[in-house]
Amino acid sequence: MKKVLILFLAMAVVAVLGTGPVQAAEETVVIGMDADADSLDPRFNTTAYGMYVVQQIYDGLIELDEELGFENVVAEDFETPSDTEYVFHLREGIKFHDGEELTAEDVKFTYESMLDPDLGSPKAGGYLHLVGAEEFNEGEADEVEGIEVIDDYTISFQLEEPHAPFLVDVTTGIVPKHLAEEAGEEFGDDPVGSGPFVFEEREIDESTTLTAFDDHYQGRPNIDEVRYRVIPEAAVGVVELETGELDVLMSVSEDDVSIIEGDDSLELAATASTNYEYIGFNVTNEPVDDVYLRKAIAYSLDKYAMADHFKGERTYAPLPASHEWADYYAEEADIHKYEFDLDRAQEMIEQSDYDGETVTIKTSEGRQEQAQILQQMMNQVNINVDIEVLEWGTFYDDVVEGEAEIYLLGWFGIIDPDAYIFFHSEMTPDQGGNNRMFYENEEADELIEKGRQTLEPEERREVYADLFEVLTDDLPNIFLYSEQDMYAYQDNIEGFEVGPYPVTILNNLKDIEIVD
Amino acid sequence: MAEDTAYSRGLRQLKDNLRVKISLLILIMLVLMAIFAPYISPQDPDEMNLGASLEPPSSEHWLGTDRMGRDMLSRIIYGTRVSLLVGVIAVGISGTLGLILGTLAGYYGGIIDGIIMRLVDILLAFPSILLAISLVAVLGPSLVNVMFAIGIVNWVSYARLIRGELLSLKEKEFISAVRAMGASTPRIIIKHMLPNAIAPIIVMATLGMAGAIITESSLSFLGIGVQPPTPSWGQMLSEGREIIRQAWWVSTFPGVAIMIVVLAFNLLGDSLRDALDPNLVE
Amino acid sequence: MQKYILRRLLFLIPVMFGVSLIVFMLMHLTPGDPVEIMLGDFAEPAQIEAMRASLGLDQPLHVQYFDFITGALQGDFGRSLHYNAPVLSLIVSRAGYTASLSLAGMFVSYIIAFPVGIISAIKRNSILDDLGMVFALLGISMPNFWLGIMLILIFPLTLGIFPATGVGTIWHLVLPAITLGTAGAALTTRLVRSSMLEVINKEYIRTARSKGLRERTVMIKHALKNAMLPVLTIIGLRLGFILGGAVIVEEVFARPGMGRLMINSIFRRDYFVVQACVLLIAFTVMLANLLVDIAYGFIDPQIKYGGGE
Repeated sequence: MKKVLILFLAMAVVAVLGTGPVQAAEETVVIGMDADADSLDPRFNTTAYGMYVVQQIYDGLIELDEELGFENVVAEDFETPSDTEYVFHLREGIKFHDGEELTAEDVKFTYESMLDPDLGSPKAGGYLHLVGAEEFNEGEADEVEGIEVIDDYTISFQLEEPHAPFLVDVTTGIVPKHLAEEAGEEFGDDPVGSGPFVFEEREIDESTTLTAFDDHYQGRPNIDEVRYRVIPEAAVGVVELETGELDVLMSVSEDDVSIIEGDDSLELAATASTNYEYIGFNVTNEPVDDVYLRKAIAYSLDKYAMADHFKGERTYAPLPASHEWADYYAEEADIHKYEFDLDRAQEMIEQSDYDGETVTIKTSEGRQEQAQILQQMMNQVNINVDIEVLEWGTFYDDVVEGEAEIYLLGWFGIIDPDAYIFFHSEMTPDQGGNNRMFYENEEADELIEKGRQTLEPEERREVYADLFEVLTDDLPNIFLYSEQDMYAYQDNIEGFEVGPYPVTILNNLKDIEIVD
Repeated sequence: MAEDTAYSRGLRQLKDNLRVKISLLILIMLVLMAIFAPYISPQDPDEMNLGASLEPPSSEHWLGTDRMGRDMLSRIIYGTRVSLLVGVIAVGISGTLGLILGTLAGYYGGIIDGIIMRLVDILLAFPSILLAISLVAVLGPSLVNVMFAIGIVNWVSYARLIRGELLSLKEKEFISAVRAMGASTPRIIIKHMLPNAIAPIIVMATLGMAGAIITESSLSFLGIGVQPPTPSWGQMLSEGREIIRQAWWVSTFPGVAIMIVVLAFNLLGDSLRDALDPNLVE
Repeated sequence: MQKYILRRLLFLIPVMFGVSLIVFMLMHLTPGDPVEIMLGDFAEPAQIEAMRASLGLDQPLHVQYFDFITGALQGDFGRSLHYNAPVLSLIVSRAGYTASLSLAGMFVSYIIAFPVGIISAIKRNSILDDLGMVFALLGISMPNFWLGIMLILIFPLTLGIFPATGVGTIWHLVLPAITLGTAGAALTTRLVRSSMLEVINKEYIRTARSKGLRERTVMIKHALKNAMLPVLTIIGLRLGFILGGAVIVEEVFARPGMGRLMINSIFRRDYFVVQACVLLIAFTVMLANLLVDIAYGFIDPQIKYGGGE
């Protein structure tokens, strides 16, 4: 009997000891996040969690700063000889973590490989407006004509037509051609970049460790090591922050704010996010194909109460509250706002063909509370609502297959007002886009295209004001609110600032210091 | 005849058994609660009050309120309906399936038996929670599909049990006697064989209800269960998980409710097993 | 005996084949497209198609299944779509966590089961027996994710002891093992109790008693020793149950084990990961069952092998 027990214990101990903790370096910052990064290859990375890590390993030509403006990084500066050409001058002497120098060839490789059909990067779509990109993507050309290496430190990008959001697309981290070409899709398993931190090791769904890069072009980071830990339970993340196991906690939920504010050794940083929540209608499906029913729904919702309940900021247009133009549209532009008004809602119902049939709201687990609140509010004007909470994959599939009436979704990472893939009639999911409302309006299409091609900011802002007026009149979706992004950190960390977008949140990680 | 006396002795024992008494009492109370939920609940279980979000237990809300300001006690009372329904229907489905396939395999043997038993082997090797998750994902989450998925996953043990019983009964003298008298096959199976296998089936079904309720709550916990706003204990519990420090009552009480129901079924099943079939292990 | 083992091993082939077919069908029947899930809002025209083609997802189902099977036979389970990493290395890096949790969970369930089962047997039909069984049944009557949450609330959150989630030290294993172990304790307790009861009435126990040995000595030295065998051999049968429980427990305690990998992969429609995990788990469970049957053969020579089942 005893022997058996001892054997058991021994087996358990052996199994556990195999995975001891990593010896912490002198100055380590431990960052807790609720899900793991996806790929550590910037050409594949699409989630916020991945961006938190990837941002530290790589440098892009230019990068977004905390105000969502652009700052030059690998590029020393850039010029625009015409509306369709961007020429970047690279800094000399930037080194990858393996000591090789970063040159224009690496830049070309990074962008070209994203368009390479054999690699299958999810980001290829962002670069199809480069000259020759479609031919290359379809395997009809050996290289992308519009990406031209002029010399080791100069590279030019040529576009088919003016494209205002272009700069957002050249923030992707540069990968070293001499390593990434051979590694192919496996490059992200052992990533090498030129950023302030060097990839050390990763245990998927558990932790990722980076160490300071001595030869970073801006100098060595102040801290020696960054460790990202995956902690799915929000409540546990907060405790680990309180006990000092974590230095920084990403994405603090609104429920935990009071706890963090009550702890003197913790700081809370809140910022408007680049996300917004909306109600989508499939405008081709009954009964929500009826615009008056959609308007009735819009009037029946107390959007301030919702924003308040979810600690967000009310939005009126397909732009998050963090966008510099958001206030303009909310206050000055001539768009429809549908402020909560049950009488107006009733009038709209009377004008509609709605006859008490059941409307289904589809959503995934994360937004089921929203769905229940909406159901309750819509019930007040006698709209009968069923809720279907589906598991994410099924839900998303139903929405893009056009098998939803009302659905709840949010968009994240909106930096530019370009609405092409969301509202253009050529962008319905069956054509491969994200117009999941199956919305179609010629006037809107024209304004969307005009918005992309207009480079002058003031002028561009007006184009979108016109577009949003059309959109809020047709009401293919109802804009609800932008959530706040909240982060918490130990007060002995100096220099921690947050930005609104995943890649900007840890922008100055390399500059922070731990003080006692 | 010897079997009959063992049977009645078992039944007599049951009447005196404290565990049986307690568990039956609990279950009867729960059934009454489910039936009369509208009369017992202090409030409408779906009625929200965003202003009264996450209120701790008080004289107004005995078990507090959830994030949407709904009365937890009312939701837990209504939640009894979901749990009991899932338990009964899911077991009904797996029992029926198991009965049919187990009978076919046990009585006819040969190639039918071979096919059914290989299927059983395959499903036994499959992690069952995984099968349930995938089935619900394929069918789409709803109360009906959840019951169906749980039923499908669990028929295997009934089939094995019934097959085993029939195999041993087949060789018994009284069956050969009935057969010699010219009884038809269905008659032999239904009239003479199955009644002899009923005790272990009842035991398995009672324990199965406990298992089904737990599985339903696990599915709801993983976010693929019964649809809101229908109150399901598993879902209520999972809603409270992230706010356990600020509002412990949201996940604690539904968990206690699950525990009470499941314990009652387990106690009953366990005692039945002791009384009806002392030799049955596992 | 050898013939029997060989036959059983041969049986594994059609069963594994069936398992592979079912998991493949289930994953591909489930609505939801892995590429769409991965690309989300970033997708643009042609992109989804190109990516599906590069992953072979545009092939007819039977071709995909054939690729899956031929790959699996050569030990190649493909690459995870989500992590963009080889499936096999993903699984290997996690199997250890699931194994240590399962072992520790079994350990806990035996720690509970032995004392409770023995006392119940010795004091049969007393109030202690009743209480013991209720106690054992409590474990299986709690949803184990709930018990996990409650343990987290009590220990790390309130008392500040034991780490709540993650892995690394043996302390990380304590709460998950208790959670998993209590669920398994009920059945094991029952088994300990019934095999003790069986032994207590045997001739040699009565002989030992009549020799005037102390009751405790009789129970521990003679009865328990003989009751141990059937209890220990049941470990194999419990493996499937324990692994199933580990799936949920890993989710609650955020352990990067196979169960959590599998559940998350189902939700992401990361086909190749799910398929590989299921095959591996099914294989392990069946192999364990086979070993148990063989072990029974050694322990209890009355069991005969061969012939129809």
